[in-house]
Amino acid sequence: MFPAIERATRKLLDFGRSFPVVALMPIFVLVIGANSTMKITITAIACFFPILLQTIYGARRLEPTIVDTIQSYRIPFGLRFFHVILPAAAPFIATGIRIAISISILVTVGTEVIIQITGLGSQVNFARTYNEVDIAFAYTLYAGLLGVLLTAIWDLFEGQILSWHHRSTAE
Amino acid sequence: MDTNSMTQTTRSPSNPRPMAVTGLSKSYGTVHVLDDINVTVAPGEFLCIVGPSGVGKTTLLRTLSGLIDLSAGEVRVGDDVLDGPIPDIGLVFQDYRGSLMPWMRTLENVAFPLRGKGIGKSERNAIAQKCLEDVGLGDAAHSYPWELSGGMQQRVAIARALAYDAHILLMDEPFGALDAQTRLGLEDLVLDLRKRLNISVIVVTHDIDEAVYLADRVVVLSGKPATVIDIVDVDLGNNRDQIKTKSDPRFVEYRNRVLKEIMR
Amino acid sequence: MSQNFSLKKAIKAQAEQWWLPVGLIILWWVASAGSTSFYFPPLNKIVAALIRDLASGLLLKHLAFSLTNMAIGLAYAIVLGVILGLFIGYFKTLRQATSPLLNFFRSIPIAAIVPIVIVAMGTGASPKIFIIGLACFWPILLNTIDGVRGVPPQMIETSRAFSIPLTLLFWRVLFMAALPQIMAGIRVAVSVALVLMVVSEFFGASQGIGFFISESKQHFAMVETWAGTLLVGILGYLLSALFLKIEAWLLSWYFQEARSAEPNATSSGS
Repeated sequence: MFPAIERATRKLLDFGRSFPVVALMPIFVLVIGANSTMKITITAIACFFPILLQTIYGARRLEPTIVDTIQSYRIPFGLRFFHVILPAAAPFIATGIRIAISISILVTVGTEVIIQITGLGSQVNFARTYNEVDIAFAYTLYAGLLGVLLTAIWDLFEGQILSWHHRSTAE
Repeated sequence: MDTNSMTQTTRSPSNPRPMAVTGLSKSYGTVHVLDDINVTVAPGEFLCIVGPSGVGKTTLLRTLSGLIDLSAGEVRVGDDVLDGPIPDIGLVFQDYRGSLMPWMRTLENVAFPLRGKGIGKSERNAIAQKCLEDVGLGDAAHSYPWELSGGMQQRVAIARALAYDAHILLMDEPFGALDAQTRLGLEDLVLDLRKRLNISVIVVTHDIDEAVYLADRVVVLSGKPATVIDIVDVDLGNNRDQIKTKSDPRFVEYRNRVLKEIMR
Repeated sequence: MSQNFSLKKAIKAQAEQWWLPVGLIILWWVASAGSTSFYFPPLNKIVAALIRDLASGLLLKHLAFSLTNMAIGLAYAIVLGVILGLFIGYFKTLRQATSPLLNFFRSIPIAAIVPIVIVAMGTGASPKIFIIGLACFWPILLNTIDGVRGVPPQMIETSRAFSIPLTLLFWRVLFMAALPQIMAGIRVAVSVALVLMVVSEFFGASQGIGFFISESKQHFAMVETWAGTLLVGILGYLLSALFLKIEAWLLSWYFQEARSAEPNATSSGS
């Protein structure tokens, strides 16, 4: 919405988006320690970027006619923000959240595997150390199922709050 | 097109064959769209199919092109029963944007079906260039379709059908997406191509003026399921003119006849 | 004169994009300058370590190993993902048969099976390539399928009407029409590849940039850990910049067409 901010942050966002968050893990382990806080921090950072980028994308691609309408009716800022830009960007925000959901599982479980924090991932690793590959795979599949389930729940929720969007774009 | 310049024997609509439709019916599930359509198209003939919107004109054209199967009856080209797309038939869609490939330059778009036939690159490019010249676009060979206007894009689509060596041109609302002036120019272009190349042209349109202006015969479709309710022989000669022909009392008569049949 | 003017404009545009990142780097540099904290060593030390290890060839050797694995894994994923994606996208029955399976496999955290694969396949380069390839395969496959499904029906009808043979249809029509979406999939795959490249080297590795980071961490060499991490960040940025260049080149027709289709569109450069 503010072109100057958008331009100033573009390079940072490009960097953040292309940065593999998991590479931060060793540093985080040393700084925060191998605990849940660290796991949550990594997951949060990893989920932050898709949501932010999708939101920016959504806010930016407002239909030109809508922009013209807002301007010609002199819609005040607050109203414009909450009743035009936010709803218009909502479908994109929803996509960002959906991406973030799958990323969150990948990153959380991945982190648990790599640095042995209690959770599904560490179970995979335990099973592996005792040579129970079948159990290790079972836990991995279980994590995949969790992802499917969470995405399905999110789709239901999204269908509720974005029903206007789905109806207006239905063929 | 000048026959001397043709480089190969299969090239040119040199072997035009008539198209005969007998007892054609088409249903989608329980919806009966077309019923017992009978019509023939002689080589070099210009046929227009008109009818109210949603009557099944496009469905008819698609069955004639071999893109969709018929439920009953048959379509013959010469002695062969049509059971899929054949090289005799070139198809031109209304939506030129969707039918030209935006990643290919104009020349490659026109030559593409020839590549499908296995014709070598230099030969197919020569044919494509020739056909582009036939539609007055010799200079646009190296442009991308989206750099051209709508009318020019539609001419590229026509050139592609010609390059394919089709002697039956099937056109689905070919000028529907164009502005009025471009439209008149393209109508005359197609009439001219028909005369020069002796090809048959079948145009589906909802524009009655256009149909009467273009056609040797106008096929009027109506009803649910659609049947042929009239075939009008348009006796306006071979040299049509946008102003003279359209102010001819016989033109008005034909037009009113078709209009009444459709509005009935 | 106008050239001078456009140059000024270009400089201004660059300045508008760079002042914040550069400012932040300077801030980091200054704020950490006298740092005695073990965890947050001064940036100048990190950069010095980075330059030292790059110059000595140590990091280059690790980088070469990592990037080779990544390139091979990615190449496998692109070839298989695109070919299978074209088929699955085009043939409806194939799509219906595979779609539940695909949706499930996509959400399996590949990182979780890294240790298993390493145990099963040993510690060389091949398990890492396998993991990268496997993880990159899904986004490419799924995007290719979506891309093929999004091809305008008239395009496929046109090809059928002109009896275009299947191989030509796949290669010159479906592949090209789906290319924008395929590139989107590859873009995701590149970042996935980078993650798994690093992660796969946290285990049973003796070379690679991920190994360098985790090895430094084991020895509590904080400066080197930071240096390696920073290098991965720079690598990610360079890779995505390179990717954008390739994409712009491959899809020049696509971007130009989009621009010509919307003459009134507000400039997206804002």
